Amino acid sequence: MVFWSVLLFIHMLFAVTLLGAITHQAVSVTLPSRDRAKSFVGAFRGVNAMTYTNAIIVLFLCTAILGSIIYPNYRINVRPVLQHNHFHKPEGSFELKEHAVAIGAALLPAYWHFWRDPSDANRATRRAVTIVLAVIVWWAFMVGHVINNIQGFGLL
Amino acid sequence: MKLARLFPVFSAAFAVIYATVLYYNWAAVTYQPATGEWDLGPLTKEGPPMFWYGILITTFAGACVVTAIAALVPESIGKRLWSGLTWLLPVAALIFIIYILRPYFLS
Repeated sequence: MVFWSVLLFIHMLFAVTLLGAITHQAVSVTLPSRDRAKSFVGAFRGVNAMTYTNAIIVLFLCTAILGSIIYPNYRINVRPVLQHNHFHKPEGSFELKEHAVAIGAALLPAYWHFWRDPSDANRATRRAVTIVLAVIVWWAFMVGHVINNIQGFGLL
Repeated sequence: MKLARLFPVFSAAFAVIYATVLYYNWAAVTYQPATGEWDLGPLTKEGPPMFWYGILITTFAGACVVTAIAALVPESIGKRLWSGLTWLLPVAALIFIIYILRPYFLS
């Protein structure tokens, strides 16, 4: 049990780092700013989005692979509890998470392709692909957080 | 890199094939987490079956086939396709998956 808890914790650490990186990139590509020094928000928006690409790919893959290793444990120990207590919405949210992460992982080659050679011609697609990935990461993180802490949310 | 131009095709194809494979449950293998067994095809035995790994395998194979076919298309024709399909098709696939999962959210 300790092994799985440690694995889940490492999974969470990767997820937190990924969340920060993809949010930075998505914001800077959506609302670019050159006034980095003026404010915290300006500095947040003014990062060089391109430098995040490879780190995001590695973090996404590490998080997803760790999640897929832990996943059978969820099916045996957590999902039956959700079903027993008729928590259909958290259960469905987790189902959507696993599918969204799979589609997100497959989106990474295209994401890398558009960021490898950023140009005005692929600016809109590059931004949209980044935003889709960011939404997937946020959804996965929020659902994982709620499921992990469902007792703390007073649902159990 | 010539191979890199096919990456958007793979990503878009994967999303569409994934939604289809999920809907029809064409999982290549099933993992039985209670017993640690792997079975070929979608199979329900003792305990909860896990089709997700099998769905990934089927989808990956399908997306590779589509990408290989796309590689035969001349680059001049491929460039005429709207690159926005790269994100639009995964978004459409996700909306379809939400539709498949609607019983969870409506019950």
